[in-house]
Amino acid sequence: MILASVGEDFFRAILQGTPSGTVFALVALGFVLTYKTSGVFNLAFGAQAYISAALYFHAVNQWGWSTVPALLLSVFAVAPAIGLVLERTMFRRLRTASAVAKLVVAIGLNVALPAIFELAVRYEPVAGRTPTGIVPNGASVFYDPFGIYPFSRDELAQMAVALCGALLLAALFRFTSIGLSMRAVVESPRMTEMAGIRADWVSAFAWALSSAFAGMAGVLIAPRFNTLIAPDFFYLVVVAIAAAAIGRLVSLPRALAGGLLLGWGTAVFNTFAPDWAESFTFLEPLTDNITPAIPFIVLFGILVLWPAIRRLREANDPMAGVDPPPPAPPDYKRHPYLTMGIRAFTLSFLIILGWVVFTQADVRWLFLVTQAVVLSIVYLSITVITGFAGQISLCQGAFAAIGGFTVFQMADRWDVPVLLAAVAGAFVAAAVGGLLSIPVLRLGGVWLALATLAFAYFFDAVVVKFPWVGGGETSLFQGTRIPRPHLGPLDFNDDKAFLVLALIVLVVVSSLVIQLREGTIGRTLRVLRGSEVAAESIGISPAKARVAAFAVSAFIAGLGGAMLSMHQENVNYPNNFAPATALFWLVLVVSLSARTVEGAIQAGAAFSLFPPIILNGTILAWILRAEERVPGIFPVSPKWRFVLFGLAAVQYARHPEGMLEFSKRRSISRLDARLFEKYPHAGHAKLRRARRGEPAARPEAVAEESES
Amino acid sequence: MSVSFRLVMPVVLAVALIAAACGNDDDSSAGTDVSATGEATAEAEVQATPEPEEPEATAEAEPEEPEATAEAEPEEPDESDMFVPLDGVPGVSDEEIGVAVIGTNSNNPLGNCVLDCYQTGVQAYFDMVNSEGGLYGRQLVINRSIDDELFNNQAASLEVIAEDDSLAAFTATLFASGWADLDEAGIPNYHWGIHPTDAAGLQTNFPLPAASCPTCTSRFIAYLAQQAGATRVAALGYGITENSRTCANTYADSIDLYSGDIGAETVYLNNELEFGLPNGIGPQVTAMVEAGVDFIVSCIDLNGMTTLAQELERQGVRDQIAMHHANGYDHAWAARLGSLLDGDLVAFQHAPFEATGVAAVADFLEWTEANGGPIGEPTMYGWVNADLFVAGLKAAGPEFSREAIIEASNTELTEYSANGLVNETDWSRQHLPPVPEDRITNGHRKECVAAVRIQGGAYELLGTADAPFLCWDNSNTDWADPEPTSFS
Amino acid sequence: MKPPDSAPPVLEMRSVEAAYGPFRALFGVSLHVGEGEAVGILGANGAGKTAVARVASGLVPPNAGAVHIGGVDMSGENAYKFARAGVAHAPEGRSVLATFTVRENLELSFRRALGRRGVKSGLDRAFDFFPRLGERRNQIAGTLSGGEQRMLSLARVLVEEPRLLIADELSLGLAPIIIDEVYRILESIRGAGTSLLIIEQHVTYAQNLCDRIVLMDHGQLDWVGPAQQAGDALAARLFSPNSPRQ
Repeated sequence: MILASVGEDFFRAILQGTPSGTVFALVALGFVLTYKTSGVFNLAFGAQAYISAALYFHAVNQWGWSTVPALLLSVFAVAPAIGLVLERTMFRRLRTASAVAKLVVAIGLNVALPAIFELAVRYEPVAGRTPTGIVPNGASVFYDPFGIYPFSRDELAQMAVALCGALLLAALFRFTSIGLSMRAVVESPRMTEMAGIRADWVSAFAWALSSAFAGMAGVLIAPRFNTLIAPDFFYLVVVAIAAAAIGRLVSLPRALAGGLLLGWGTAVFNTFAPDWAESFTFLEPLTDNITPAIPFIVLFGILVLWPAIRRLREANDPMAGVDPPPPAPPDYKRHPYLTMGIRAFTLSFLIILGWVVFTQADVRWLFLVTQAVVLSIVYLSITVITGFAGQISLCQGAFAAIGGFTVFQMADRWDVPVLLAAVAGAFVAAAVGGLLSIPVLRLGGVWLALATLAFAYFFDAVVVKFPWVGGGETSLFQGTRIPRPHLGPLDFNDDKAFLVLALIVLVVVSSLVIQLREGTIGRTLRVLRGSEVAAESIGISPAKARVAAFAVSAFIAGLGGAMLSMHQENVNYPNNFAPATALFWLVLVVSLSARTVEGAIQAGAAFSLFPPIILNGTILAWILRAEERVPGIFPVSPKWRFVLFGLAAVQYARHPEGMLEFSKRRSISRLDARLFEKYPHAGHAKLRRARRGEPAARPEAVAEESES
Repeated sequence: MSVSFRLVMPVVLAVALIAAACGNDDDSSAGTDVSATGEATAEAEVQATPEPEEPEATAEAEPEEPEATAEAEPEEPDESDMFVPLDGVPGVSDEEIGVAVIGTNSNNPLGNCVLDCYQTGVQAYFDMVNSEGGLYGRQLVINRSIDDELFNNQAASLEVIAEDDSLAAFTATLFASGWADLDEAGIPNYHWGIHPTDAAGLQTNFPLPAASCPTCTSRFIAYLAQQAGATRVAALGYGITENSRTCANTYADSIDLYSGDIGAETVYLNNELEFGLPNGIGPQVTAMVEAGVDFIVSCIDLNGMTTLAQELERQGVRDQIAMHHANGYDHAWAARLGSLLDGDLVAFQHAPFEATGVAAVADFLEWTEANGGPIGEPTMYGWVNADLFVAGLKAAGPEFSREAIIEASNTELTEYSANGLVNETDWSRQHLPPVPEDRITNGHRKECVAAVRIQGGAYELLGTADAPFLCWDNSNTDWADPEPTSFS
Repeated sequence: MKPPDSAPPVLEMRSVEAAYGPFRALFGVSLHVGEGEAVGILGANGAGKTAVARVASGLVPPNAGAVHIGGVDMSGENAYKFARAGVAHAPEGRSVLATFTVRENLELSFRRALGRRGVKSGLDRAFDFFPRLGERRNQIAGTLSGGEQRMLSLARVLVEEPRLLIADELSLGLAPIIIDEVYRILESIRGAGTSLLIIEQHVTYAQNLCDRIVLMDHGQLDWVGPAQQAGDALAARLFSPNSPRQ
């Protein structure tokens, strides 16, 4: 009898979990479809789904279109068009780029695309206005096939499309020649061409297909959200990756099953957990906190524990050598005069800037400049983990938050001086980073990135509210306030004093980072970046180097986060450290330069100063000497930030050194060349010849230039 | 892309409501169907009934007649049109008194109207005052309006401080990172009281409603349960913020505290719901049904309540289970959901727009519509904030300054209610939240709420059109029926 | 050097210069493969042999000069057009799609070359030629041995009978007995009318199969002549005191 009722509860839970499971399944299907047909971990899938959903909604609500034309526009016209544009302009040329590079491109697109859409269509989300689905009366008509739990029309439509989609697409891949061709192009476009197949068209079709599916998924899913915004879709993608991972990312039916399992599992847990917690009270903290974290725990668990994932190395394209990626800029020696000139220029620039800031800046600009400095510290952590170690870490926000929260807790509970607490916070973050990296050691690029993403969301969903992190009584009544530091007679309540402190910390951390790069760890990481197998063969342990890199990177992030919190006198977690913000940090640093200290500093300046100076038209007003003369388009919408930097990050695959670095080198090289002609130095003849592309005296000379 | 708003929403919208009301019946007059226009996309269904025509008016000097809506102190001689030239007071010229508004427009992930609506409320009030000749011979203007783009509250606040050309700041933002700076600079900061932690203890900070006690039990929630005929109550909150979690706990405790009086008890408590309910709320509703719940009290946002209502409907129990909404006073939303919300109760902290007997409400409606609306909570709070500012100005006298305003507000405005629009507040005491052990020192004299019932997509008063607040004496926590109260 | 026959050569490269990005590989290479001819290319590593193969099959477009297939100028065309014009390229290293099964590898090409109806008979013929492959038809090609993978790529050629087969270092990594078999298959391919362009390191094998041999060095042709004379030409270069010309 008890079993019967448990059985009935279980069955009901399954039914209740089906709608959300279907949504996960749809997104997982789309994600797998994209991966199968393009080899790209399309983290921008959510953005594509969102665009179609929002466009449909906008057309129906604002422009008064009826369902069918709006659907045709958003799913069958715009969505595939976006896919075609992406393929043609970006992904076609990235076929031989590494998976990590393609991931960064996808992240950049994820940031830029929704902003582009919202700017183009002038779409603004409206609170509480539930999007209508494509089925008439989709949310108000219910059917109850089992007599236990009814489903709405919208939900049934979702289920139908998910099921049919999975079956049709699976059949497409198994039985049709286009399916075969799409898979072939993913593995080796050149080999496919050698079989007489037009790889470019196949690739274009693949993107159009997967994008249309994304659009369809978006329009179907939209009614679930009571307000239509992009971050919700990204959240779905993160969850769906867990579902897709169950199918090892290539099996469509398994992705469907994975999504349903996630939905069912959550519902079953929510049904039975309260009873378990009652019977076993020690489970209570677990049951209280688990539900929002389930997908991220599943994702992390699968990535770390599922051996098939670890073994899933993409088949190398033997024809990759035909289209080599553009060679990394060589480590060439600059002309000494040029080096001196650059140093002098930089020094004088900094001196003038410092003078301006310290004498002329008002409170607000002082704040912005200090914020730029402090953020640069945080961004140096990205330089270490992404620039040096070549790994994508999407949880730097969590590490920085750990730093800030440690300062808050230590100052609040034990009155520890904040500077000391900041250092402690950095160490705590380092410990967390190191520990986190151990299970994900053997995962390569993309998987590691996904694991860090799972951790970031886990931290955000569950850890932040713990009383010993960001919750607790103090935070309930007063928030997470932090005093400014005192050091003997020095009181850093004064903003200028704090700026000096921040600059000192930045200089210290920068030199640490530079030392790192030139030292053993840095060289080890560089070797690993070149070839892991080769590194191992000379006795380098990638594991140790990775853990070290993670720990150092987390340390720096924690320190930076602590500094940021001290600057604002509050941790301000949702403002400063949320997962989506951290994603944008990565985009920013990568687009400017992940490999140099300079790039991190530029990124800090860009984040803090670019909007107020450029986007608000301030610089224009200063140049024109009159605010009234600034054209009416200013202040430009802050969304342009995402557009510009998102698109710049897309260049990462072709210019891993960053756009600014690339153009800087390009413009300097002309000057450099001219200097060489005027003041030639012996010993550089080889370089000159190689630059002109002539066959060198020895065949090796040509190969010598390329940097790993 | 914007921040994880999951932490923002509950903070923003989980206003811990204080309850204090004593009253007899819910003689609710037929509510006027005043719907809020959503935003630029006109959804106008304004069928206002008793509304003064003719909103138009700008800076017409009218014979100074003490308007019941503008003044706050009856005793002192009315110096509000006495002009004294002032030097070096930021934002003040011989013609104008300028204030800054900081709010969030762009990047707002919640999609609700914040800066625009709030600023409309402030502007509407200023228009009204200006139409009567302004104050101290000067017109009230908003001379700086900054969109903090969600993240840049501190920078925006610093901008106001640096430019130093505003007498006061009005803030309507989703984050409050700049408030400590405003306080340090001595700038009076008026805002909607949804950031209690950032406002706590700051003497320059004037939230409306004033700081409430997140862990104190309240009578109003028990009263609402009683009104709904509840016997078995469920309390729901989001797990992601202390506020929402604590709120649910406190509601449950309140119900249980008065369970003998109201004949209801808490049988289900879930304060660990996931923000945004991404997995729906099916199992939880099933559990509530199995527990025999007939009333739900909630500390979650509009979107979550919509999902909850839809799930109740789906499981066929919408008629059996009534709900309390913490953030459900949104006319457009109620109209959209229509009969789905019938019988539900909403409680909030300002006079409802349906309270036609309160003169200030009529003024608010008139002047806000003249400014293009929309009529809604953010606009109302802009209005009352402006009223508080003006009240402070008046208390400060013709030789006013920032310090004088703050000083005067904190000494003289001891029974401030924006002419009946909010619960009577004593600014000499209420910059800190009260605590359960001591509700009196820092608390309202009366525990008051405005409560409405949703019927047919519109709101009906539980108080009366003249006395819309339901109040209880806050000097004790005894059970009693609330008293419909008017503060005007 | 233009062939005297009236039929245009299957492959003709005229003064081709080619590069991989900034790295130049071929400096003015001219060669041709006539109808039914077998031409071998020999040379040290890095001499540009694979570059020639890639230009001949359209994978790499020439920066200067021209590539003609059967008399038609195909310079700069996409590789798939070369394939459709009858050029089959068995590339160096792995020449099959590792994640596809044996059957799928064949099907991919047969569907286009033989039409959908012809796929079945094509598969049957392929497995006739290579019963071992037939046994493994559903096995993932990446798990086949090196020799089996070569067989697989040759099976396709046997069935489709293209005009030209460019075979790049087929013998690499194979045991001699397997190399023998591979070259027997090449003979039968040639016998079926396919011209051959063989890139090899094993001089003897190349000599036995080919009509002409080309020696390459540093991206340029060093010597062209009949296969029998190749050995002497090589020896001369091997023992010459001078380094090859730039």
